Amino acid sequence: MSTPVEISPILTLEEIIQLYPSEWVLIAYTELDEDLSVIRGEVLAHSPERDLLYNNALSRKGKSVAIEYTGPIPENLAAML
Amino acid sequence: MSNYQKVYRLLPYGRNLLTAQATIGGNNGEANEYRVRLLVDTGASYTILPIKTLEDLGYDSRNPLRRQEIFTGQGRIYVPVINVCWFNCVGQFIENFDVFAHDIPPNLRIDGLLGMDFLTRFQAVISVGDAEIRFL
Repeated sequence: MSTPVEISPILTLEEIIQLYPSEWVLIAYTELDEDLSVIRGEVLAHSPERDLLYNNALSRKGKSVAIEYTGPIPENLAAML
Repeated sequence: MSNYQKVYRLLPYGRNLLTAQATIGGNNGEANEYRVRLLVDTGASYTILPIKTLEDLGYDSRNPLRRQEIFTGQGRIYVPVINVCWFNCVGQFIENFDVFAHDIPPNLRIDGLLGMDFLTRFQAVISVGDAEIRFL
């Protein structure tokens, strides 16, 4: 189950990572950089399971959102799709 | 590389992978816009986005434009094709872009694939050494 965030201040991505380590977070972003990386935004929900973010998130009507994983990406992560 | 007028950075990811981030416009759905992280994949014919992301934006994956047969490493699948109102990635903005609604394994922590449909449309040149994508 995802956890909706009751108090939702605008935080930097670094602050979000510190608050919700190794989780998926749904962020209503207010600023992106030139690579379209989130600089800051409001956390709408967080969960260990990505798919659960869509269920219990606070209203995101009209908002611009991104899903981020706040844990480390393994350096040896490999893919062949 | 002075012949290339536009150069954008790609983001190294995991082992020998490059990603780019994109924003997608909504269709009166729950969200207005989504930012996604895509694997740059010259082995993919089409650009692929997560089903729930598209549905959250207001697109109906159960009533697609069509279903496209795709051969993957796991076999043959039929994937819904959705026309998104706009798609923005590495400085290229497309209105009415057809994307494929399909979920890639969540353990990759990647939202989807930036496929050859996008890359050939803009005649992209990818420098894997410099992690850059260039356009004329």
